[in-house]
Amino acid sequence: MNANKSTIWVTIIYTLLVILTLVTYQIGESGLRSLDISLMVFAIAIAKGALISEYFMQLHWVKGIWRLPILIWLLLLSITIYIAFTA
Amino acid sequence: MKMNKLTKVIKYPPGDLAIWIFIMAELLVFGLFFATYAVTRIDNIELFEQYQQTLDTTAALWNTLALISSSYFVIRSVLAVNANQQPQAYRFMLLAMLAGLVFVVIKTNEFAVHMDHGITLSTNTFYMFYLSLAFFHYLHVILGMIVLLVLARNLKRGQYTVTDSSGLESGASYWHMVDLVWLILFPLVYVM
Repeated sequence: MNANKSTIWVTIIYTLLVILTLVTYQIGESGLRSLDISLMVFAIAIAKGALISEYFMQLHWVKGIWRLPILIWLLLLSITIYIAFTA
Repeated sequence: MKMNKLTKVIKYPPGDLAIWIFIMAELLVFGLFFATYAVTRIDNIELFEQYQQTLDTTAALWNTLALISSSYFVIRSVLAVNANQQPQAYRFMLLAMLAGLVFVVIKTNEFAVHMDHGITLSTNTFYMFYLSLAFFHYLHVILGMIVLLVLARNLKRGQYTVTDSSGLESGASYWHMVDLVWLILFPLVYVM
């Protein structure tokens, strides 16, 4: 991938992050409240976090263990929030 | 010419390893904060949902867009240095600072509104968590802005090159971490 393609790639990720943020906001503004919706909103947040980790922090191209800590943090956070919200 | 980071598999994350250990420590602290918030919410669901409605979700939306945009400009700055385009990298860093400043202005205004309404840490359990989390993150944004300022100064002086951009990548990674934490904080505290 050359520099131009890298630029296009991060711009696509940025656009995706903006769209997911607007979706989250619209869900919040809709006034809809349920466990499923809360978990969906958090799943979107985790996906956004993974995109930041993988492409903005450039960990997608890191081989081995150093790629994992932030993804593991997101996973553990997901499990914790899921347990807390479904308890 | 050094290959762009987005073109090859590397063994270590971009920047100094020390910054990554620092980032992990920071994420651990924020993670504990988020977990404590969620666990405390279990016994206070009605209170949390009631006072969540008093927060300015539109301000939070603009803040989220500001931080995402700032992170985007930072990665564009890193890519520009890797493509040997230092002047462009400097301009992107200035844009990143501007977007970061938007966050600081909006968040400062939010805190001022809360103070005007007499809301403090002791108002109730929800506000204790909200104000603590938001202010703790706000301090990280302030520190991140100082980091971006230093990076911009160094870019203007041409200190980062294709073969020596570790400092830039370290600062960029820290700023992305600040963004990442907000992306979790926004839905957890404002929306869910």
